[in-house]
Amino acid sequence: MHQQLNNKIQVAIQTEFPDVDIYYTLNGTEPTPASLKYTEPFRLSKTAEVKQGPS
Amino acid sequence: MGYTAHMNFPIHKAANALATVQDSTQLLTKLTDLEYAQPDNTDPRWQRLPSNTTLNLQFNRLTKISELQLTALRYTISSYYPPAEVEVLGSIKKAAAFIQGRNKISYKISFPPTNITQLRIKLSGVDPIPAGHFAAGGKSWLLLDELVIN
Repeated sequence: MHQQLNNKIQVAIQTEFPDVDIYYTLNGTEPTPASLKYTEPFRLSKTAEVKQGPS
Repeated sequence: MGYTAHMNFPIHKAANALATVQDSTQLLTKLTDLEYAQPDNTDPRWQRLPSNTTLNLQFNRLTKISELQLTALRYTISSYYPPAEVEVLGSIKKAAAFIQGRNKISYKISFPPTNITQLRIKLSGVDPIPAGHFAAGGKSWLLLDELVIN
């Protein structure tokens, strides 16, 4: 889910499964456990392809 | 890793630009609000428009642009067809042939970098609905997502 905030996009990631870590990338590459770990909604200030997956 | 999901979030030069249908003053904010729709015709982020529509996009300053991207929902059972033709500043790009079904159809039209303050986008729909559809001969509609200008 996402929403605009002053020409930025705030992205929140949800999962149907509890107690899993979510990793994501901002350049369209496949996420790995070495990627960014999702902890809270984040803001995009430029175009990004967000790809996320559970560990 | 398990299954991954992805979504593209363009932040572009027409963000919050004033979009209207030609000869109308009603603002179509869904076309420039950086809110991107899911492939579901009930998602309120889609803008519903008649199948043949000319859009005006007004920029608040001289802006050098070289590309228009737009996405339309194809959901033919509900008479939503993507544009058959998209015309920008006299440049014409034609879409591929249509089959029944539902998916998001993306258009990407590139042109030499040009300084503009206003852009006109003429959308010609599938009109009438083609043979084979239960509503063949009827009126189709457009469901458009963001007008992405780069």
